[in-house]
This record gives sequence, structure tokens and C-alpha cells, in this order.
Amino acid sequence: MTTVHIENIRKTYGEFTALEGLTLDMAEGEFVSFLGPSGCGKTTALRIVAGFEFADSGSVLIDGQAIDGLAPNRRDMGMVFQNYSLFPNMSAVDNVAFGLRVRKKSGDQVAKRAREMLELVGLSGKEANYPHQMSGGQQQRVALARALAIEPRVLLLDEPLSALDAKVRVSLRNEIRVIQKELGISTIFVTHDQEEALTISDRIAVLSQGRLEQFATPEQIYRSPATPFVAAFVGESNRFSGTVAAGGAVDFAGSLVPLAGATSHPVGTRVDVLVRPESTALLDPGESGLPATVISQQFQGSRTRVLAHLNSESDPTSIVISDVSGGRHEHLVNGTAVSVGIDGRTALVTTPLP
Amino acid sequence: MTRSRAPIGRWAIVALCVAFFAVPLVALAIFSFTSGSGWTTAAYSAIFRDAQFWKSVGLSLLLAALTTVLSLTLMVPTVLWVHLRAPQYRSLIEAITLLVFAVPPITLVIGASGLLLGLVPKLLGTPLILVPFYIVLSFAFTFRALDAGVKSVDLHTLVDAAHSLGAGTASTVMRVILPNLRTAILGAAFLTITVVLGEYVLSSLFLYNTLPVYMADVGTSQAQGAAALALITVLFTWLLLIAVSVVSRRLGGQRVGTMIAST
Repeated sequence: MTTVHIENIRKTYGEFTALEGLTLDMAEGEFVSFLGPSGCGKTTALRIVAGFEFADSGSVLIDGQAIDGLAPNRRDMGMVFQNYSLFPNMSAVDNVAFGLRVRKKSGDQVAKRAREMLELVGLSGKEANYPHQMSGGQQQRVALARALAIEPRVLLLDEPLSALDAKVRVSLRNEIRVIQKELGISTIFVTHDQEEALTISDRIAVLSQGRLEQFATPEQIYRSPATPFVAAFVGESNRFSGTVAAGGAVDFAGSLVPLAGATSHPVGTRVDVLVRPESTALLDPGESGLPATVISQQFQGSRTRVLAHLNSESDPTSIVISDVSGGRHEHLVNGTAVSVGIDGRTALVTTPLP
Repeated sequence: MTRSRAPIGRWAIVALCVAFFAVPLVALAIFSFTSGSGWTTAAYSAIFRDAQFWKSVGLSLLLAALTTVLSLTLMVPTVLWVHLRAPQYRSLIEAITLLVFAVPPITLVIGASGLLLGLVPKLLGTPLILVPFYIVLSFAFTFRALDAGVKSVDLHTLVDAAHSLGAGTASTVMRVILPNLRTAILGAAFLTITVVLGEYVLSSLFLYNTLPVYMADVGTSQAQGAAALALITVLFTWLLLIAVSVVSRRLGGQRVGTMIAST
């Protein structure tokens, strides 16, 4: 069991700042995702932990010990790469055995452990297959087995699923999580796919332009985004413009809606309010909310997404997205006048966004 | 145009191409086996009995072996370095490898031999003086063969993977890089050997009797002998290609033919 502490890491490439003051702590056996758009610094951060890149300043500590000067081959970290990284000249079992052979383990031990690892990732019987004889999903399983075979202190996953097709991606990510929990290995998972990060992580570090925006559980990230970037990047949001009114409410062109977040802004200031589709409600006209007209319905299985056009012209989002579960959408035919209610506890109130 | 004509047209083109390559060879073979009175192997037995032939073959093979070993020793690390550490120099090095073709051989010989003899005077008077020239000549081919080989694998990721699994540099080179470049290295070696076995201008300027020079000499006095020699050289080169191809396929690599074609 290993703790990882990333302390004030800064990394620049010429003029470009890849990471600025990244600090975060990982508990023993924790599964942490680095999530962000491309160029946000998530892969750079992972490569610094792995030892492939060196930070300009700051430190990485494993179990309290700084490892900054250590070469990658002395860090005891298992890594799975985005591109298929299996050695093409070796069979599956030889790939898995590679790290053990480099460590000069005895032949019997190596063969036993390599076979166990392939079994763990569900590839018994494929020992003799070469990488070119395996599917993308199988190759990434072997890569996972290879990374785990050396009993690494930390498991590093660099977008290992992004080259796979949708079905395999979902099943493999579930398996990764099961195996990770079973072994209790501290894991960093880099991804740009928010759904992936939300489903498998203990905690998510959301990065943008080299800075840590929020480091919290998936639920906190989704329900109470710390910054407008997180609110916009993770999940979908409606955005409304309003003015802070007295008594913890926001005035949307004459409609007063009570919002918990409004109290932190002075009365009379312009604010943007970010609201998840499922935190909106399409109420009867006249109830407290923003007046709108239904323009379309999209059936999405367990829920139906209803789009409504705001009657007020001043809002940046003139189309409201609202998710309605079950069959409660049937009366919402096109042209129905509604009042868009906002869940005051989860809406994010922020200074106007660009 | 009817559908049935297209394949006929295609076959005609193939047949034409085959004829283009085969007719001169067949003519060469027929000519080498004839004398005024009929079929004979006299030209071949004359060549095989000529001590100078064997000396020339020996010299050419020695030069080919030395050139191949030295050229690869220089070029394999260079290509790896360029790809892993200094990709910005790749086009520069590619241009340098081509430079030798921009210099007329006589200029090369006069210019470079002065320098070489100043540096290594012992080379004077031995055919080994040809080796440095052949190495430079072979760079264009070895660089391209190795470059294509490196590009066909994701070298960066493989090296990172090996390092993260605990392998040091030596171990990574021996267990991961070289095995995955085996086909490219064999291809480079093959190209170098054929360059050396076919090089005439430099060796004749230096007055050494390599196989091509010997062949040209024979051609001035015995027409059948020159034809026989040409055929022997062609067959020998083919055998070499097949041997390299078989070896590399046993090792599980891609076919050398396709690899050379891609360079």
C-alpha cells in the first residue's frame, strides 16, 4: 500500500506552461483520475510521476520519500500506455514476464507469476499469442497484466481505453476497477472522458490549462463543481444570466428564483447560473421559474430530454435542456408553455462567464 | 469497353514487364552458354579456373563484410538517437546521407583520399582504403532501411514501457529495440552488400581488382565470359536476397522485400 504526494509541481515547455503548482495527495489504495481536455497537463503530470519527464520545480513523494531524481526504471511503477505498447517480438506470456526477467527472478517463479497475471486479466489460453494476433482489448489486458506483474507500488494508466471500441471500453474499465480494488493498488488514471472518470474513480482531479480546478469525489465534482470550468466540462449545464436580489435569490428578467449560492454575491451584481439538466423542472406556467416554451423531446431510454426555448431573449442559453425521468413528459408536447424551475441547492452561481 | 477486356489488358502489362526483365537475362544466359559450334560451358569453366576471379570475389566479399559491419555500427545508434532524442536533426541527417551522390566520384576520391591518407597513412596501398568510401556510399541505403524499420514500430512507447518495467538502457536495446529492428537491420545489411558488390567507379579509380572491375576487364577480351560473370552475379545477388528473406521470416519479421520496397 502506497501513498502518493504531488507537491507544487511546475513544468514548462519553452513559453508553454504545462503544469502550474499542481498539488494533491493520494491515500493508500486510492483510484484517482486526472481529467481534463487535451493540453490540460494531465499526461504531463502522469509522466512526471512515472519519471519520463522532470518537473521544473516541485516534488513527487511516494510513501513520504521524494523520488524526483530517480530514473523511471528504478521507480517500481507499472504503466499502461494509450498506444499498444506490447513488445511485438514477444508472446503474451513473455511480455508479462519481461519485468520479472529484468529483475532476475528465477525461471519457475517468472513463468508461474506471468501465467497468474494473464489469468487475472482473463487471458488464460492466450499465453503463446503474439500482439499482432490479439485484438486491441486483449492487448491492453496483456499490458495491464505486464504492468501488474512487477507488483508496482503505483499503477499508472495513460488513457489505456481510448483506442478501444465503446463496448470493450466499458467492460475493460469495470475489470480494471475490480482488479485494482482486489489488489488494493494506488492508481492514477489519465482520461479525457468524464463518464469514464466519474464511474471508476475514488477521486477525480480536474485539470485545465495546467492548473488543478478541483480534486474531489465524482459525486462532489458533479453535484458541486468548485469552478465554472468544472461545471461546464463535467456533465452538461444550462447557463442563465441574472442579477442577485435580496434574500438569497436571483432575478432572471423579472422571475425571482431562490438559490443557495446567491448569498455569496453582493445584491445587484450580474451573475451566471449553471444548472444540470436533471436539476431543472418543467413546471406549470405561473409557478416560480423562468417562462419558456417546449420545442422538442428526445427519448433516451430511462429518461426523456425536453428542450424548451426561453421566452426572455437576454439569456446566453436560449435553449434549456431538461431531463425528465419515467413517463412524466407526456403532457410536454411542442408549444406547451412551462416555467423552468431550478434546484436552488445544486445550481452554481458565478460571476459572468466569458 | 467490355468487362472482359480489363483483365486481358492487365495481363498484357504484366507480361510486358516480365518480358522487360526476363528477355535480357535469358539472352544473356543463352549467349553465355554458346560458342560458334553449339552449347558449351566453356565460358564458366574458364572463369572458375581463373585465379584472379576467386581473388576478386574474395576481395569484394571482404570489403562487403567490413563495410556492412562498420556502416551498421555507425548507423544503428545514429538512427536510434535521431528518433529518440533529436528528431529535429532527422531531415539534416537524411540530407547528409544523400550528399555523396551530389559529388562526382573522381572529386570524392581525390579530395577524400588525401584526407584519409593524412589521417591513416597505413591505408595507402591496401584495398581497405575503399571501405571508408563504401561506408559513406552505403549511408543513404542503411539510413533509409533503418529509418523505415524504426518508423514501423512505436519506438518511444516501447522504450518507455521497457524502462517502466525496470529495464536499463542496455537491457532495453538488447531485448526490445534490436529484436524489433532485426528485419530492418538485415535489409540494411543486404543493401550495403549489394552496393559494395556492384560498385565499379571507385574501385577502378583506386586500381583495385574487385569483382565489378574484374568483370569489366573480362568484358574487354571475352564476350561470353563477361555474360557468364554477369549471370553469376545476378544469381548470387538473388540467392543472397532469398537467404536474408528466409532468415528474417524465421525470426518472425516482415518480409525484407516489402521493407526494402518501402525505403
